[in-house]
Amino acid sequence: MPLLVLLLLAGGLGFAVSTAFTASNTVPSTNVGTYTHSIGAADLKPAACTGTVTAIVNVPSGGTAFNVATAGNLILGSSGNDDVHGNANSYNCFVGGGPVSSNGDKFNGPGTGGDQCIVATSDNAGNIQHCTIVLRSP
Amino acid sequence: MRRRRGLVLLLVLAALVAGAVVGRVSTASSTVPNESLGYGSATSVAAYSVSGVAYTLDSTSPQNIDQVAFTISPATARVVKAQLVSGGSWYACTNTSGSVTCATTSPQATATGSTQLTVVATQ
Repeated sequence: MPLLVLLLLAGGLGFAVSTAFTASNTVPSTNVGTYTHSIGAADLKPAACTGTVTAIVNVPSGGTAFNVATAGNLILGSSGNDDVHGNANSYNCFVGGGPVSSNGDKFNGPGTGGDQCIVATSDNAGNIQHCTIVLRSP
Repeated sequence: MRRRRGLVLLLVLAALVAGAVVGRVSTASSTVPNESLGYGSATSVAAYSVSGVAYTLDSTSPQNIDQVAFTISPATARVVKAQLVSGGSWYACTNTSGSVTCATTSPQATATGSTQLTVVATQ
């Protein structure tokens, strides 16, 4: 066999073997994804509250009178009994929370903003003034 | 004669090595094209879409968030995790045919401390 043919065959053999080896390092098919979105008061607002909110106000624990002078708030109660005074003449949504039994959350709105309240089933309706109870929970 | 045979053998070996190197280089140049997300060929990379995001406030302590739920597509996502604040804790999620729920109680997420939802998903 001529030397040139022999060398070509050897080179081809080396090429084929190395190509087959590296070609076997395949990347498996996969789906990977990332989704990002900002979280605002409107995103956290329970569906029962139908007005527009743009900010979150946390009611401090302790049960002392707490005034909210601005509108467009998602007012979130503490785990205890709260006493909230909504003094804005526009919409606020109050989510009372608190004890399941013998709940004593109080909310007193201005009566002109169409405020909506979510308060416990055990909360006396008389504790909620000038605010439409749209849901009882817990 | 013996020296010539050795020389031929050496040349054959050199040809084998040269062929292997060329083959290695040619396949190594078959790089995966850059994609905006993930690894793989262009036809196998697909981002997920997330919709219908809903947060559940704790019923007795509404300043806390107990769960985030959403719909993911494609529904086949096997591993899904969620984060409620950049750089914060990652919460494991359960995907049931595209309906995803993520408990956010350990550590407890709060309403005012949650500013950005990030979801990562993979097959």
